[in-house]
Amino acid sequence: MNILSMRPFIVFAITMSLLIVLTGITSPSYGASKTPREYQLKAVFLTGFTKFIEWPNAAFSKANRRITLCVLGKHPFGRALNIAVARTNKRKRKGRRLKVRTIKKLKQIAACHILYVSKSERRRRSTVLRYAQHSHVLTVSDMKHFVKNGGMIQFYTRRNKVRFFINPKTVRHADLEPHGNLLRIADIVR
Amino acid sequence: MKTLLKQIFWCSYLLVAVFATTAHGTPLDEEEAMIEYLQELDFEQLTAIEVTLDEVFDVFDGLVKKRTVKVATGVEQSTARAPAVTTVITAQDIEAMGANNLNQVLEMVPGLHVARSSQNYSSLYIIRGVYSDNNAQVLLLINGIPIKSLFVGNRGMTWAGMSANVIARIEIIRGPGSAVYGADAFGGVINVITKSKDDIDGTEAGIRMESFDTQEAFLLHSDNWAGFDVALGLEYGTTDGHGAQIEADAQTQFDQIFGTQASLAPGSVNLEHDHLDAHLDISRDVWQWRADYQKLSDFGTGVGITQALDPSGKYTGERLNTDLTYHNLDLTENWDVTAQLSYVAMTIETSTPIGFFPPGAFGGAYPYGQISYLKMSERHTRLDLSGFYSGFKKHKVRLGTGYYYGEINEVVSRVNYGINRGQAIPPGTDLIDVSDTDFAFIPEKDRKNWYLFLQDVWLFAPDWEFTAGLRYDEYSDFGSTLNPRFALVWDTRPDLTSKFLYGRAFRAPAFGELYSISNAVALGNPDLEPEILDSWELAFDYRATDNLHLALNLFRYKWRDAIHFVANPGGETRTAQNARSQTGRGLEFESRWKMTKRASLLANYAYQESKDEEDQDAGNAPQHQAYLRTDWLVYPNWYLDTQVNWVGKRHRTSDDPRTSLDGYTTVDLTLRRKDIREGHWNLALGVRNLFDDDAREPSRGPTSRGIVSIPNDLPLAGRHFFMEMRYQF
Repeated sequence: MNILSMRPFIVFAITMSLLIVLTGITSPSYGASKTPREYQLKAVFLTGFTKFIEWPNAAFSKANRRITLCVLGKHPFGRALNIAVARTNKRKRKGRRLKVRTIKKLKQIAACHILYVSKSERRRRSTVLRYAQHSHVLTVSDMKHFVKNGGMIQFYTRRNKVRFFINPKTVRHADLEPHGNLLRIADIVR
Repeated sequence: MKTLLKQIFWCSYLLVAVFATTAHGTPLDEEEAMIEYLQELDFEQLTAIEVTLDEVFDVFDGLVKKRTVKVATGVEQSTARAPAVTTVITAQDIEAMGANNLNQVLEMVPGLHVARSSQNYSSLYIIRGVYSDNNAQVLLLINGIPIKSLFVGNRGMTWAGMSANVIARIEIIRGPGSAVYGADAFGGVINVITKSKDDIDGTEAGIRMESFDTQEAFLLHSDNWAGFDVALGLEYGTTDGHGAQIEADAQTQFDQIFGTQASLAPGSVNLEHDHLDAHLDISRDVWQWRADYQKLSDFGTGVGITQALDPSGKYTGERLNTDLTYHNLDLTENWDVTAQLSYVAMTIETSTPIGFFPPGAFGGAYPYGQISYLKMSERHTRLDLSGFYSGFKKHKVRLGTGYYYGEINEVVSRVNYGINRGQAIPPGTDLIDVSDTDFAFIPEKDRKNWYLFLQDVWLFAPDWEFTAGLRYDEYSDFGSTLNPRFALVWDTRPDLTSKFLYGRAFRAPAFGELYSISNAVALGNPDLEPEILDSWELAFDYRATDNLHLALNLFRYKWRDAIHFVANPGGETRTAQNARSQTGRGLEFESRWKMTKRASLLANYAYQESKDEEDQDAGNAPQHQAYLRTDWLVYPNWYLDTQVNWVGKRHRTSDDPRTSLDGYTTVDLTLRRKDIREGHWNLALGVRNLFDDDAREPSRGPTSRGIVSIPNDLPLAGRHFFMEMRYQF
């Protein structure tokens, strides 16, 4: 084999090995100066909502004791939501533990306590909300006009910060009780 | 000089790579640490924290983000767990690379090489050494619908890729997919998914200027109209093509034999064309309607239809593909159902008569040369129904059935040579209409096909998944075929997935291969059987860290009854026959690495060794291929994308006396200015084939007389530049 014709391959191999060696040398480190990702913050908000919402006892059963956090549609959270839930459960001494469920069918909503409606479900959002009306479920989404269309909590971003709208009336309509502290921080929509 | 330039480039490249890894510091697996940090804060503090927004251009993170594919089984699943070797290319990848056409994007897929055909310079998608002149062994789908010419078996005679602006993502299977897609999902499947409302943010318009007098303008728009989600795309472009020199052509060889001087070579390859692409996507609830239209006009003939240069011959090609899809996740508790009605129409027509041989050929008997006017339309209608049943524990069953009707019609054939109703056409006459006779280049024919498939995914142990699939196809013209697939997927460790895959595929003979009778170049054979491919694969997907993903696969295949146009003794014609078999094996390695927050690297290497029935190299496909792409945020809002593509030496087929075709390396740079936070403008500048390497793709092998029409192969574009401006309203 002509060694000259192999040159690009050799350079390719050397570049690769150098880069791989360098990853070995640079060790991972973490500083709070790093900027979190939007979905990481939203995952923390989602688990955090459980502290500020009270569900009626009827929302739980023997088989379903935990607070079920459902994600309907395409998952934007990666590992972040599972990490946030695992860490919340670890720290919990009292109160209900959490679990995450990814769902596709609308019938599965009946077993949820928090329902995050992904943007991928935009086309059937009104059907989703109609289904959710029959359960004690807190509906949350990033979709525009979600609260206006009957949803409870809607994330939005302004100047690279994550905030949320809440409609206390629809929340209470599902027999859920929002904490005053939550309403203080949120932008209230009536 | 060129060598020196190259050496300087490689040295600086190495330096840049080293700098990128060390200067920007910290490789990051700290999702847990970040969540922990955030959970320590109260809600008020959380609302004050600045975040990196998700839906912005972050090519570095995008490279290692979990990717899902639907192409493997019909259900969306992670690429790691999908029971096939798959690659996903996102709109963000396309933007980073500065690509404006599908053909420029696919080279990043390990083991896939985009070559060129001697016929109109159409792109050939060569996967794992499965090479043929027409490249009918790869199935290209747009939104799941085959774009497949009945005449040639490939994407049509005027396939020039498609506009990248309307592509949301591309999913690629390397290896067979007939158990899901039926015919022609043979060497691989490429599914292009076009943009819906969610993929377009309001209105975007742009222009692009490129070397070779190439100009393009486009508009994308999305909105909600009366409850309907609407996405629109429009693009118009014109190009002269790179016009590289062809030193000698088929007529040069005849000139040498007959002592004439008719050849137009040396001359330039004719790649000029104008294109118009229109895209529409309307959806509401469970319904979606999509339509794509492409018109290519003044389409040059490349190196000529008989590989004799033909600067004046031009085609007009049109394609319309449209589908109405119903997808209901909630039809009943356990059924997730999809119904799709689709229609594809393709038309090709010569706008200026095509020259078979130039004036002066055959001792000057034809004052205008041997010329021809051709027209042909194809229509393909499909109804596909499928459903997932999730009522069994640990099983996910998919059932599907469908019907296809395809026809070639409106065949018009006018020639000034050959035979008309049993009589030889005397040289010097005008074009004579031989349509609707046995002497038209292809008779008007149709094909019907219905199918039934069944697939089961069985989670038989906590980390083990077994997929079995079977598809039965019945064809009106060549009978039935049954294609199985099996896949065992094992989550060996939380960060490692191992797969063992087997699949069988078939390729239906194209009408040109079956029925073409008077075509001066290639003759059909109605007794052809489908081609068969059996493939075995062992694949590993290793997520070494959150920022480094590695994938490796080993494959082996056997391709039987391969249809080749075998040269006939005495003449310049070839007849289609199930003449060959080929075995191949190889490996593909890929690494995706987010080096820092501002730099990422994608590198892959593919090796394949394919042998014909005489144990000789099957030829024309590169044995070695490597691709490297880095993206780097050089300065706030300035992105630099570098692509290095090395295509190894191409051996010749056993009947081709030429020495192997040298490999080549192209280096492409794209510098983009994009303000992801509030910018409206998105500007890019790029250079392609920076070192002006003499890149060539193999031309067709010799005729039975041992004549190679284009001895010096098909040249690709040299160094060229582009500039792109986009504005987001």
